[in-house]
Amino acid sequence: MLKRRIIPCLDIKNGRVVKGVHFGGLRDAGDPVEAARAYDAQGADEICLLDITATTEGRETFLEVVRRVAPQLFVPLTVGGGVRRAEDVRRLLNAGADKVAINSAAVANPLLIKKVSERYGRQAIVGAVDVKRIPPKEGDPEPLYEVVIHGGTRSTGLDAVSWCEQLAEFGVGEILLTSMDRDGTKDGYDLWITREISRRVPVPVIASGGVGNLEHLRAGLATGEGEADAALAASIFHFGLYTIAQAKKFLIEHNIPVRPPETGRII
Amino acid sequence: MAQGVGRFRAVLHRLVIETGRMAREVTLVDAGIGNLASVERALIQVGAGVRVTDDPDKVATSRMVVFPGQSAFGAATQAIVDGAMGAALRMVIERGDPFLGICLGMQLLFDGSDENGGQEGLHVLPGRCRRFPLGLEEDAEPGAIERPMDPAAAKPDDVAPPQSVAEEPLSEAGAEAGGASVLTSPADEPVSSPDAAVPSPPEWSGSTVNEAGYGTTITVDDLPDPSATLPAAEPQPESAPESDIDRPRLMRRIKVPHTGWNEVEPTGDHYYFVHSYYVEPARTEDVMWMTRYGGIRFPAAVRRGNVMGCQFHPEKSQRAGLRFLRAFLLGGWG
Repeated sequence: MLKRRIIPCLDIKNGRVVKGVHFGGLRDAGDPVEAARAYDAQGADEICLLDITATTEGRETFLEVVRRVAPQLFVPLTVGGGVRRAEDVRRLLNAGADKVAINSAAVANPLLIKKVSERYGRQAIVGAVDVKRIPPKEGDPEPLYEVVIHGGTRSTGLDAVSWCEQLAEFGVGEILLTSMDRDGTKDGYDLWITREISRRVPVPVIASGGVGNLEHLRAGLATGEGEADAALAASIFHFGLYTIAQAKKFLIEHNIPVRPPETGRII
Repeated sequence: MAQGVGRFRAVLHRLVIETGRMAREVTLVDAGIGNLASVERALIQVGAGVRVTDDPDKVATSRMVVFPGQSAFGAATQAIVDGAMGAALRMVIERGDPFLGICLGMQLLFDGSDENGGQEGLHVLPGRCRRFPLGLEEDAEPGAIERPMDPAAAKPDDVAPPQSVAEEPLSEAGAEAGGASVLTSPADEPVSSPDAAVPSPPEWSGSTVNEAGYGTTITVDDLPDPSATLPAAEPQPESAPESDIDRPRLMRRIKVPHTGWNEVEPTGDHYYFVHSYYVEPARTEDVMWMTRYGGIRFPAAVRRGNVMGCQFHPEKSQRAGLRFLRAFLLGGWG
């Protein structure tokens, strides 16, 4: 059967991994190439690079990072951050990315998704969606979440679930769903909204934001809990708390179908 | 005497090296339907010399060809099939030189696709591409609700009519489409008696799927068609019997595209897939490996003589993918 994916994510600023990556065997923990290779060797199912610079010069540096990282990997590479125009998508794909995540620009210009999806194929376009829970009012039948953009600083008034449904219609091949309430908290994914979107939207959903331990990964993927198709995490892997292989072992023991880590020679 | 043996070995050695060199020169076809860089890199990694070209003449004279593709059938693929590139690809195949189609490149080997209102393929292998219908139950795989499979159980006579769809005018539609077993029970209608209501094992060669697009809710279109006949006894790779009787009936539906790492039969290795259409081949003997998704079994890799195809992306499938490419280079499947 199809396996759930574990995706380590590297935040990149000025060509370096932000906060570094703290596990053994790396000569330069801030070098994205070394970090990505290490994750690949540990058995990551996919690797994600996010540009958090968001300046024009930074974008050029990020492209260079993608160009250096991509040739080192034999797993899919997803990149995102600051993608505004079709031209940005083209350059990132040409630099070696397999998928490009589009966030704020999709809200500002949904036609962009349609255009790049038609041009490069649905499989190359990921809809990145940051959501925040709206403070509950009495009488709400269920929680409400809205889409936020520009790193969570601007609200859009868009309902999270309907927006994801629309993105799928516009032509994204996946949704990368980040809970801004949980991001950085280590409290675990927001299971309610992850499950809701995963059930309502026909494309795969990658859960993101809040992972602090392996149990959080399990819950994010488990049927009846988060129901995500893939789990993205940064700090638990960066700080050497767990390797990808340990995470997969834990998930297999808890009946989450994941690809077993490969061992042995590269070929 | 010793000298003779030595000379013989030297000649043999040279022959092996020369053959190896010839066999490892790969032409990578740039038909404008995919990103070639990672395929090129993976081929180099496993020892190939790679020539990338978009020139049909160069393709036509190549002795080993890899044809990758992403995305979907459409105007671009139609132009390839109808144009000089299609003729060049057919020439290589007909000459008997090793040929590998990757993803859309494999799908193009078949007769055509439902995609974008019906498109023609290269007609090298018989069969068509179908879209994964939305709404299929993720776990609806052979063995999920069945007893260990008895080959005789796959006979059409044993296909119990679905109990919950007596009112639905499904028979005509199913029969028109070639009829066959399908795989899911409707989500909201628990199968009352598992033994009686289990449809015949899903078979890729005969599945009827509806053409639901995004946003369509599938209700009962995917139920077994009582009037359907199955293709006569075809070899069905044995799957390990699973005891899922106690499994909670929490159900997930498949996502389209089929994205991620799936296991292939019979090797058990995992490869990275991303596609919304799958091949429904007309000949079982063309299929080398299969995989399953939402109860649909479909070819993960096909082979007929010198022609090979893989639905997955070997260049994104880590070690397993590199092993696959290396085996292709070395003619590793006999």
